[in-house]
Amino acid sequence: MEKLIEILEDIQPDADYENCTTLIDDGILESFAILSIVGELEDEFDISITPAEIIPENFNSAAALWAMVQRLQNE
Amino acid sequence: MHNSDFETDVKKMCATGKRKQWKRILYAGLFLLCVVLLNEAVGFALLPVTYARMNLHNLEQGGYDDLFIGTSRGANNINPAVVDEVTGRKSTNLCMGNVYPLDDLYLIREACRIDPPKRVIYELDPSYYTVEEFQGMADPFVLHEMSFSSVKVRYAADKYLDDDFRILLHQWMFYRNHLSQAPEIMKMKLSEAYRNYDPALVSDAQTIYRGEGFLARQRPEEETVRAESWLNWNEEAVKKDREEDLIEMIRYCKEQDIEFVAVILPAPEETRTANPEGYEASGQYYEELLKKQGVPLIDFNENGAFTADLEKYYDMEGHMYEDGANEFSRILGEYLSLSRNM
Amino acid sequence: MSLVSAEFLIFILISAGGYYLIPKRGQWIWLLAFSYLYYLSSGVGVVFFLLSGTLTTYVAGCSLEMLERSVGDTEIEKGTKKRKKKRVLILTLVFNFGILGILKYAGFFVENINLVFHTGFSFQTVLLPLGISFYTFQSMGYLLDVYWGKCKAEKNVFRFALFVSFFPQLLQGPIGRYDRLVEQLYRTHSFSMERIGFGAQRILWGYFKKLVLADRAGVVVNQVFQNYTDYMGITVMVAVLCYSIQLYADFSGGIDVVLGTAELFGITLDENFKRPFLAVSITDFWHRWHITLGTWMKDYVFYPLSLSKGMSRFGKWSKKRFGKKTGRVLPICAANIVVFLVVGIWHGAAWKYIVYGLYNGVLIALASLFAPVFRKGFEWTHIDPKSFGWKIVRIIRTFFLVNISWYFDMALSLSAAVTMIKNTVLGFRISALYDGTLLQLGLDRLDYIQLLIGVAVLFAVGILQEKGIRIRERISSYPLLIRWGIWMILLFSLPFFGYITAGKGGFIYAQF
Repeated sequence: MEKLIEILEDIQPDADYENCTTLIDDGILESFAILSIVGELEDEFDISITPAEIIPENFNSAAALWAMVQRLQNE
Repeated sequence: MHNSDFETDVKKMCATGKRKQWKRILYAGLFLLCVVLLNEAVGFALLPVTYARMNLHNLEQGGYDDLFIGTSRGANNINPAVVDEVTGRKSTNLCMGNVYPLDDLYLIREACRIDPPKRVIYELDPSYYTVEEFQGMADPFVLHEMSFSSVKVRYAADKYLDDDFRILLHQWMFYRNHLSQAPEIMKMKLSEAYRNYDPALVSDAQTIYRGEGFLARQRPEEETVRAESWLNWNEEAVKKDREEDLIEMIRYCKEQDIEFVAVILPAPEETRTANPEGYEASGQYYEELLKKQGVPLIDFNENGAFTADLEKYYDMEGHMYEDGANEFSRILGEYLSLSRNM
Repeated sequence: MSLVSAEFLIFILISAGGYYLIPKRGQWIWLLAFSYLYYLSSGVGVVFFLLSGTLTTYVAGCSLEMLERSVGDTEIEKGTKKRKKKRVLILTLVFNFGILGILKYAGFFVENINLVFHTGFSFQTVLLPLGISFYTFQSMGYLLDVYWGKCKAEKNVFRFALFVSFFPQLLQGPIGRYDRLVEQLYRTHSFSMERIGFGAQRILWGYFKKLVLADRAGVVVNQVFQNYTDYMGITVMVAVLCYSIQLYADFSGGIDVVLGTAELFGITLDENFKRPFLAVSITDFWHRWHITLGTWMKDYVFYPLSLSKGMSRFGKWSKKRFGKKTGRVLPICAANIVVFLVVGIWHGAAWKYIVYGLYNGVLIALASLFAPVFRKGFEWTHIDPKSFGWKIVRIIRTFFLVNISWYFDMALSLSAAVTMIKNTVLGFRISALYDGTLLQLGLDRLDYIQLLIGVAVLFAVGILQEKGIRIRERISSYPLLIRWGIWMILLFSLPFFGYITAGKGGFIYAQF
């Protein structure tokens, strides 16, 4: 989880990743950032993220992202 | 909370909801009513009084044997009173400017709704088949002046359904810049003369409405220069839908057992010699088209029955002064008597 | 059936009236019937295209789901399943986009082949079947959603047919999403005068934009863009600004009519515009302009392309070559440019549209690549990027960039666009503003005043909406007289101030 926050901070510094749960709904993360995050997560956690995973529910908060990473790692 | 209490609460809520709904519907209806009234009021103030109102009023009296339909040339050049003297029948002139075959078709239908005539004489102007039509409600507002009937509804639908909705809903739109004339128009529409269909309302110094749709053009004190004009005939430019309307007109008359005769009015000699091919070609084109429909065409550009001196006309296009028109109407009457015997 | 025609008004009156009078169970069938009626009014032959699109997508959706459910847990069976699914998907995509592509682009290809090889092939350009781009995009989005397991396949072919053909959106979108639309279309709706009032008000607002603003601004646009060699400097700039007005008022006004019509049936379609000219960047602009196309492109082209194997390989290579930060963004930029290329081609088959798309794509890519540089620049100059003043600067800059893109969008051809840009810069004379040049473009002084007032109204409404104020709800809370007055003025502005397009063939009988 800490590693994840680190990645997020690196890609887009100006957001409160610990608490925000509307990263997508409020337009904080845009498509470029989303794809950058996906790319980093794939490398870092050795997972493969398909277009089907790119839905607001998976990207709205750091916790949701982390849940997705763990789920994909188990698959 | 007790169960039945809850139920009555729900019922109460539904009732107020319904009441609110009805109130909303009532207000919406009132709003629309205001819109309609305001719209009518603006139309009343802006739409001028036209001779179409007179013509349609004539038609509603019924009892006509012959009906003239066509364009502004027919309105200026055909005096039904003179024609009737020769033919011994009763006719009225429904020729009007800005009126196209589709409008003519509905004028005939309207006539049949009221009192079917024995014969329709169609004044055919080839240029009306090629020019672009003004999109919208154009003077003299035939549709607007028609009394309400299924014919009027079908006419409106046929002509304006696929156009900008404002043309039908706000017929006064094209006169929105004429607000300054509104007081005069309203005064006219509220007058006794208006209720009595006084021809003076649609007459002026130049043109006098002589009854039965004849627009008698007066000679000015000083002879004016006539603007050049001639028939630009191009067969390719003929609008096919207008031709279909003409064929439908003929078919409808046949179905109603009404005789159909077509007439091409004489153009001034000077205009004709400026472009003889155009007159010849258009005359032939329509003669053939009408022949296929079994309809006779009297072409006064061809038959030479009328001496088309320029001084009988007030413009090069072929609109005549009253005296010219009376002379022509007599000849037309003779031809029409013949055609009946044919 | 045009959105401003009398028959359209009658059509929605009958369809919406009947919708609430018939038994509620039949409401969606009623909608389907009227949607097909609407479609048929544009010609009987074109229904073939709508039907073939509907049926192939329906069958493909069902078979995708059947394949997914089919037994088989071993790796080999999973592999075959995946392959089969992919085959169904690609076949359907190729068929549907193929039809769209052939109808839309065959003429363009033939023309360019003739140009390059000096051949003389001819292709009969057919009129595009009504709404084919919109329903194709909509149904292909659905298919991809089913393929990815984002939504379930629709089992009822008639229900699916309604999703594809729902008549208000056929003409110009918005491109609907299955998951948001489907439930609304089939749910029963009770009569609500409030809802219908709001719908009617939105339609009225759309007509105001279209008739008062778009049609009037369009006069200048047509005059200058059609005869572009005759105009220089400020005149061209005015025409481009008018194109901003025309395009926005026409397109978003049409969408207002569409959304208002859907609201009459109690159905909320996706918004397609959110004050695009208040955008602070080109990216932001595309989040506010033709939104449903943008999100469609993002979900079904941009993400899949960026996440494809090829792109991930390119990403690894570029990271090695350009370092972590730039290398990470580079493949995304590339995918983005491809997306905008597609957007450009979607607009039409011509080189100018390709440039139009590339221009947008490259600007967005550059902004992203140089984002770190900008960040440093702000630190260095002590400009607060979040300040109000800087926001205004960004809005104006974006508006300027967008207007440059209009040259390519609207000019007759690519070379015409270049000539026009050159003429704008080289022929610049400030006197053109007041020496009467502008009065020779088909509009008189009163027209320009009406345009300015209309734009001011639009702008004011936009600012209020940007602040989160719901205009119609706010107005409905006012006292009766004010409320009625506002709507009455808007309604009568259509015949009083709306532009009157003269003859059907563009011929003006001088009556006024």
